[in-house]
Amino acid sequence: MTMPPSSEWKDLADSAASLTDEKFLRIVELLEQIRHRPGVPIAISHLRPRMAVLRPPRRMTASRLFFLPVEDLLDDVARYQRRLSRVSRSTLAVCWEIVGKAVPERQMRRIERELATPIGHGAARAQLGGALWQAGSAALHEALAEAGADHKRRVALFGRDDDVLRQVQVVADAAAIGEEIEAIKAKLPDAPIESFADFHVEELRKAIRGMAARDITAVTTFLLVLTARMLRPGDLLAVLADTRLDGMQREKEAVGKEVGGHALENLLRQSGEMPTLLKGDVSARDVALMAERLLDGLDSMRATLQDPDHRKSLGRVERARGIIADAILDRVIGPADQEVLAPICNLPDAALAPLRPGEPPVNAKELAKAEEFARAYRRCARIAPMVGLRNELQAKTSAICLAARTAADNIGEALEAGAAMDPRAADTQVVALLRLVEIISGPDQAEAILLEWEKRARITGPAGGEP
Amino acid sequence: MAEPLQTSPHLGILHGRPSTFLERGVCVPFTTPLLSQARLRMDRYGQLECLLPGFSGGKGTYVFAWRTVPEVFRTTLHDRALHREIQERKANTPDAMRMAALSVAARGLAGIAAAVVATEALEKEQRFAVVTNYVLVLELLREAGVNAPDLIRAMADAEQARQMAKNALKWIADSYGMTADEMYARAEAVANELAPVGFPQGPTPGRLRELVRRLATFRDDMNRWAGTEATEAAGLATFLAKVADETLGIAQARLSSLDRILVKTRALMVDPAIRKEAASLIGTLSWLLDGWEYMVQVWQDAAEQSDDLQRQTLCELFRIAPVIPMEELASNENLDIEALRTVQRRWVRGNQDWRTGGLDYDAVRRIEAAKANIA
Repeated sequence: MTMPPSSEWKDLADSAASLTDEKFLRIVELLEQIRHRPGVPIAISHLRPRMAVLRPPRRMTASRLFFLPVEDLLDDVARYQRRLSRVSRSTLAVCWEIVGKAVPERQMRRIERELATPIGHGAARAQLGGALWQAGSAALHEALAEAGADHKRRVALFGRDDDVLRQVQVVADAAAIGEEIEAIKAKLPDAPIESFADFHVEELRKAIRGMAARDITAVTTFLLVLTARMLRPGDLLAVLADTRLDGMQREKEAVGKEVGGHALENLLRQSGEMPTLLKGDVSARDVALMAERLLDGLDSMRATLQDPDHRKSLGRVERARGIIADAILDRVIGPADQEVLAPICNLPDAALAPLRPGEPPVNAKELAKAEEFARAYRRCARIAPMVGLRNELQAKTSAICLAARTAADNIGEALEAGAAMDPRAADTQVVALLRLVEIISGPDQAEAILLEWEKRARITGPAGGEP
Repeated sequence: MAEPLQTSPHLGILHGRPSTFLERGVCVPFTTPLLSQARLRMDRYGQLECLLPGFSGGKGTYVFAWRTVPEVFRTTLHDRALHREIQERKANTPDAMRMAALSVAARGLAGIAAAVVATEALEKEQRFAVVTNYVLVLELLREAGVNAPDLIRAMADAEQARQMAKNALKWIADSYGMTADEMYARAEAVANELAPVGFPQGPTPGRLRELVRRLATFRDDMNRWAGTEATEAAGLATFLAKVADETLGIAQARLSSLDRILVKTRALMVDPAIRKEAASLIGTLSWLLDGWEYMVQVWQDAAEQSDDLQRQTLCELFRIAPVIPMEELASNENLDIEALRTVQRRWVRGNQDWRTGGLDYDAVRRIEAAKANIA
C-alpha cells in the first residue's frame, strides 16, 4: 500500500478537529498504529490537546513500552528546544529502528503477545519491559559508539545534526535504568507531583542510594525524568541533597547542579511559551494550572538560583513571572465577574435574572462552567500576590462579592414587597450565587449574605421552610 | 479546643473499637475535606459532640464540642448550614442525619447535581414507603386467601391502587377486629417503618438491603486489590475488607432475622412486640451500615483511577472506616490498627488541608460528586 506524503497526515489531523469525539478517537487509533511513519508524529502532535481532554485508551505496543521510561522528557516537534536534555518525538522513530533490529523477533513477538492482555499495576509493566529496555539501551549505546567512530555510519544512522545524538543518548540512558524509573513511578504520586509523603521520600532515597552505588551518572538521568514529573522540581533536588551518599558528596552536588540547571531552563522555556499557548483555546482552569505549576516550580528552584552559574538566570526568571502575571490578569482575574456572575445575574446591574413560570432557576450546565471558572480564580488567588497582583485580585473579589450581595438584597426586597415569584426558585438562585461567592472569596462572606437572605426571606433553617 | 480522646477516659474508643453504636456516633456528610464523614454523638451531659478520627495525621480520635466546630475549622458554606440544621434537629441517629443532610443538599448547598439527587431521594423515599405498603397489603391479602392480580395491575395508578387496597383491607380488618381505616393506617405505619429495608419480594430492594449487596462487592474488591498491590497499602485494603466482612456478617444475620419476621404479616400488624422487634432490627442495620454508603461510593468512583489515586482513597477510607462496636461482636476481638495507622500516616502528603488550613475546592468538588451519587 502506498502511504500518503507526510504533509497529508498533518492535513488529516487538522481536519479531524471538526469531527465528533467518537470519530476523532478512531482517527487517533489509526494514527497510533502507524505512529513511526514520517509525518505521523507531527500529525499526532496536532491532535494531542484534544487527546489530553478525551484521554483515549491507548494501545500499549512494544515501542510504547520501550519509550515509557523517557516519556516525561518527550516534546512535540514544534515545542522541542535543544540542550535541555529533552527528546523530540521525531527522534523516536530513529531510536526504534535501531532497537527493533537489535531485539530478537521472537522476544518482540512475546512482548507484543503479553501486551495484548491487560498488565495492570506499573510494577508489572516494569517487569515486562526489563529485558526490552536492557537490550534496547545496549543497541542504542552501541549505535552511538559506532557513530562516534565512523562519520559515514553516523550520518546513515542519525543524520548530521549533533543534537539528535544527544537525544538518542538521553533515550539510551533512560532505557538503561528503565526498570528503576518505572518501579519508582509506580510508587510515587501521579504527575504532576505536588508533594511527597514520608513513604515516597523513603522510596526515593532507597532508589537513589542503590543507583549511586552502581553508577552515580545514572542518578542524573533518573532525576531528570522525575523532575519532569514534579510541580516543584526543587523539592526533588532537596530530597537528593538530604540523601546521604557516602564518599560521593562532590558527585552528588554535581548531579544536583546539572539536574537543577535543566529543570530551571525547562521552566523558563515553558513560561516563554505561555503567550503562544494562550492564543489557542485554553480554559481558565488550564491557565490557572499552568501559572500555578510554573510559579511553584520557579519558587522551588531558589537553591539552584543561588548557584553562581545560575544567578544570571534571575533576570529571566523575573521576566517569566511577568509573563505569568499577564496571563493570570488577562485570562482569569479580568473576566472573572462576567464569567462567574453572568450565568445567574444580569450584568452590570447585578439583578438576578427574572424567571418565567416553569423556568428552572439556574442552568446546570452554565452553573457548572461558572463554578469551574471560580475554582480557577481561587487557584490564582493563591499565586496572584506572588506576581504583584494582590490589589487587582482584591478589587475584583470585592466587586464580585458586592454584586452578589446586591443581587440577594434586590430579590429579598422584592419578596418583602410581595412580588410574584416562586420563593423556592429564588432561594435556589441565591444559593447558587453564594456558592460562587464562596469559591471566589471563601465561606465567610457567602455565609454572611446567606444568613441575611434567609432572615429576609423568612427561611427557617437550611431545610428552607416556606418563606 | 480540641481534646485528644486518650485524655478523656470515659470515651475509650482509642483502643481499636468503640463499645456501642452510640459511642461510635453517626456519620456527618460534611463536604469540608478535613471533616468528611466526621462522627457526631451525644455526650454524657446530653450535648452534641463531634469525633474526628486521625485529625492532623495524629494517632487519636479527637473530640470537639459540636457548637465549636465552626470556630475550630474553616468549613464550607454547605457544612455551616448542615451544622445549624443538625443543631436545630438534634439529629444524632443515622435516619435523622440522613434527613437533615438531604434537606440541606436539596437547597443546592452541595451543588446543583447533589440538589437534584437529594430532591429525588426524598421523593423516592416516599414512593418506596408506598410500594412497601402495597407489598404488605398483597401479603395480607395472600394470607387471607384473596387473589391479588387485580391489585398488581392497578399499581400503575397510585390513587386507584390505594382505594382498591383499602377496600380489600376492610375485609381483612373485620377479621382482626379493626375498622378499615384503622387497618389502613396501621399498614401505612408498618410500611413506613419497614421502608428502609423493604420486603425481600418487593419490586426493588430497600435502601439498606441494597447497601448490603454493594458492601459485599466492596469487600471482594478490597481483597482483590490487596492481592495485586505491591506496596504496604495492601495492608489497608485487607483491613477494610475485614471490617466490611465483619459488618456484612452481622448485617446479613440481622437481615435474615428480619426477613423471617416479615413473613409473619399478621403478627406484624397486630403484635406490638413483633413490630418492635422488626423496628429494632432495622434500627441496628441502619447504625451498622452508617457510613458505608459513602465508603462504597468513593471506592466505586476511584475504581477507574490510577494506582496512586486508589492508594490515596484507601488511606482516606481507612481513616473513616466504620469499625463495629464491641457489643455487636460475638467475640471480644479487638483490632490492632496502630501498625496500619503508621502506614497511613506515611502516605499523608504535605499539601493536604489539615496542614495548610485552607479549603481545597477541587477536593470539595470530589466529595460533592460522591454525595451527588449517594444522596
